[in-house]
Amino acid sequence: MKTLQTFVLATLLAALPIAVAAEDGDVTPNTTEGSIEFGGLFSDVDGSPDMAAEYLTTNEGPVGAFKLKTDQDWGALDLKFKYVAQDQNVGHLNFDIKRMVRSHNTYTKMPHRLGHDPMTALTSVSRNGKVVRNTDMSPNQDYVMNYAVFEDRTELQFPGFRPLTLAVGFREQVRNGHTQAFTTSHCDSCHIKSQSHQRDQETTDGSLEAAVAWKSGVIRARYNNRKLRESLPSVTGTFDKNLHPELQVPVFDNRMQYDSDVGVVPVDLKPEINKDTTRLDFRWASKNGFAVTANGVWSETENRGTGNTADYSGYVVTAAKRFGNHLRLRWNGKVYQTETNSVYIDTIERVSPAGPQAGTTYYDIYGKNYDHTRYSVLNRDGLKSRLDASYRFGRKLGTLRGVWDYEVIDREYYEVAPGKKETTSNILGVSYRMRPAKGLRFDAEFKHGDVTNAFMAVDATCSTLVSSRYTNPWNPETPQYDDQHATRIGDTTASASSWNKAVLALGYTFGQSTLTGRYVYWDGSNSDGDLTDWSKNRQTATITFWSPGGSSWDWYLGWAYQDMSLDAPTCVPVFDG
Amino acid sequence: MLKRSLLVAAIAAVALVPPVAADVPVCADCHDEAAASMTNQVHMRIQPFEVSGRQVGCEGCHGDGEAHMEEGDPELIRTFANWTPSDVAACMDCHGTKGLAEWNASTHAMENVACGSCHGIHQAKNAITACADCHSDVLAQFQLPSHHPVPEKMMDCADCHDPHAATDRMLKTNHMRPNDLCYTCHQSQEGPFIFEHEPVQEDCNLCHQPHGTVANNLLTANEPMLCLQCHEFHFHAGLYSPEEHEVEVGGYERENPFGVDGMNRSFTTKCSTCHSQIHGSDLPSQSLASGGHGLVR
Repeated sequence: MKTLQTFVLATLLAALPIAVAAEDGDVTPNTTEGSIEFGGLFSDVDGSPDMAAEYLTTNEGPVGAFKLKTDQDWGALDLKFKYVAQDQNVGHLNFDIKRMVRSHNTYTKMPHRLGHDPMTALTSVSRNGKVVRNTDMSPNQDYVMNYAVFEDRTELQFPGFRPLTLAVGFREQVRNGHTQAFTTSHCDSCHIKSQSHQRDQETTDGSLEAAVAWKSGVIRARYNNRKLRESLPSVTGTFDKNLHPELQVPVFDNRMQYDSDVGVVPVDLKPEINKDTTRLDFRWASKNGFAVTANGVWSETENRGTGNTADYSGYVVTAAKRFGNHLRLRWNGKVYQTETNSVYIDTIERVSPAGPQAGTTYYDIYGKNYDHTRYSVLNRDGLKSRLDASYRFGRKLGTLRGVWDYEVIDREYYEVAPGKKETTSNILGVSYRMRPAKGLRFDAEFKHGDVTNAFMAVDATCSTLVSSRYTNPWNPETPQYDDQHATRIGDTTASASSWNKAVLALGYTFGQSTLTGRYVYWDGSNSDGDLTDWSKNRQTATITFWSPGGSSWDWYLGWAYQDMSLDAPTCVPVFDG
Repeated sequence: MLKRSLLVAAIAAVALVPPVAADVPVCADCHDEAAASMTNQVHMRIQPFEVSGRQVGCEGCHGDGEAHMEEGDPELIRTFANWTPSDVAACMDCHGTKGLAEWNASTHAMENVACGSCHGIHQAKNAITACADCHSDVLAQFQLPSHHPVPEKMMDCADCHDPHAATDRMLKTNHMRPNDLCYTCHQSQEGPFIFEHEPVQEDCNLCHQPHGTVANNLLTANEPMLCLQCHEFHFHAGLYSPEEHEVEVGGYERENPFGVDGMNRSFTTKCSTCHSQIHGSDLPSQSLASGGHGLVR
């Protein structure tokens, strides 16, 4: 796939300074300055726009930028706006009114190109000629989501009661456009259909905050409410008439076993949610370098479509102490709990309309009831602890730091090893950073991690029951799909139970330019489970040079080398259904 | 009535408070260049009430300048030349009561990173390169084909990280789980869903690398290889492919367009084409055996 992008931005500018110069030495005068810029945008994308310009406009036309900054007796205002295209622009507005009202606002709009999957890879797969079919119902659709976010934070603080700061926050994120929605169906084989799903999604966050500060500390309370709305409905999918894969005769009128009698069902449904978060912070610092912070966070997320809720509560305490100018100690502890409700899954038992089992249900034939309760993997108690110490040898001699991270995740339901629901991890690290001369930096770091019962899927692969023929829904003697699931013995994971990481970095800053070089080595493995032999090795080397060319542009030159090897055995092939 | 009274009180409070002149002109007699760089700078507009009555203007940061002014000796005033712990403490004296309350407990503080390492107090530094001076490998990761829009300047590091916070990896998690940071923008993936994908609830980083990847969608490996670390092939991915491009099954001619190459091509199959609701779903998949858990709709 060719991904070449030619992107030309001709910015000719007639910057029109409208500054009212300040008098020498006067830094708090009534001043106003600004500029207006005009230019043109020409773009040419060869290949896949989603790869070449994933977040950039491909429109052409005039571009403009506007800046205005003023400092007056009533306060100050700083406004910047850059228009690149209808689907790409950014703006900032900061202002204060006599410093009693302080407001920070940003606006960003950009496209996010998602690409169009032609599904051709699906036609490549076969078993004795059995091909996964695919149909693209919107073959010419460009899948792009336009993303726009506005954020505001406004603080209020009055001289009459200076310890108190009130703040309101507002964030609105809009995403609209089209995404590619897929439907999976069966006729005699899997049939994948693709269609355009028009989306209009809006998330609003509103927050209130109050902080009381004194010379050595602050107490802050914050409440945030988030609402996610999906203004457009999900798309629908129609399931094909089911045919026996070899005999090509109907098996059932349909195999909709959950929520439809007619075969037309919603697909690609995105939930609307509410999320309420309350947070309390306390911070106190003494003159002799001792500081304590404590936080409590309580959150509830509700899926408005299903009514399911997920709760979080967590408490964090951090204590840090500086001994003179050399030694620092810190301990950070956190306990938290997450919980969501269990869900009862009620299946519809269809009656077979044809064949030797006509008039009977799956339960009649096999005696299996697929009704069950889903217990969430989210439910857990967590504990984290970090203890670290650093010693500063001197300004040029650098700082040596050691860290010990300890974490326990105790899940309520999900097993990460046979009979085990608890993961314990220990990470030991040491780092050294030095600034031997002005502009020169050297960093070295080594970390070792050891995890007991790393996140794993127990009995996820390698069925010991492999049939040579299709599962036969008319023959109770043949193994059914879930029989094969039930006899799987392979545990799988993408998480290391033991890993090492090493970093070496050099940096040199001269003038405003910076040259850096960095090498990162990571190696981890996990062979804790049955048939599990997962390992990954990654080496990354980078050399970068960055230089600011002016107040509004800079340039960056980078060379990156990455070598990664992944060893993750899979059971091939297993007819697991 | 109450609203109106509050509004009037607020307007009166704003109107009646005169701005406090900073102590700049005297300093500017000698330090005209530094003074010029502070024009319209927020530090020069801070009022004492914002910082619990502390000194504002040049002396607010540099300390009492009287002796320095009389003797002309730079040793007699705080210059921030070496960014000693006491220099950092001078910044935190005000900022500690504002948004940077956790600084002393942060990892950067433990590393003896000083304010001046990242911030130009008189002249702002570029937000991204202030981080990249030390984290150049991360800046390079953003140049990989799949990345968050940092190089496009639609995001910067501070959208996800708070370099002054005491959180894990200084993430803006709101002191919750790392996933909660991702949900700030990717709310659709939060649920809670009836049918879950277990690693999604566990940690987004099991499948995604947020800085940049070669694989699309910030995945740590391409599909299907990523999925095959935990799941096995289906029947339609990786089985024997006959040479013939037309094969007969059940009396019907079926297309096998890639012949023996079919199995190789199956490695380009995206599992998420069929299992499109990979982050979770409230709709059951139409299969009894999976308990509706197939995440296909």
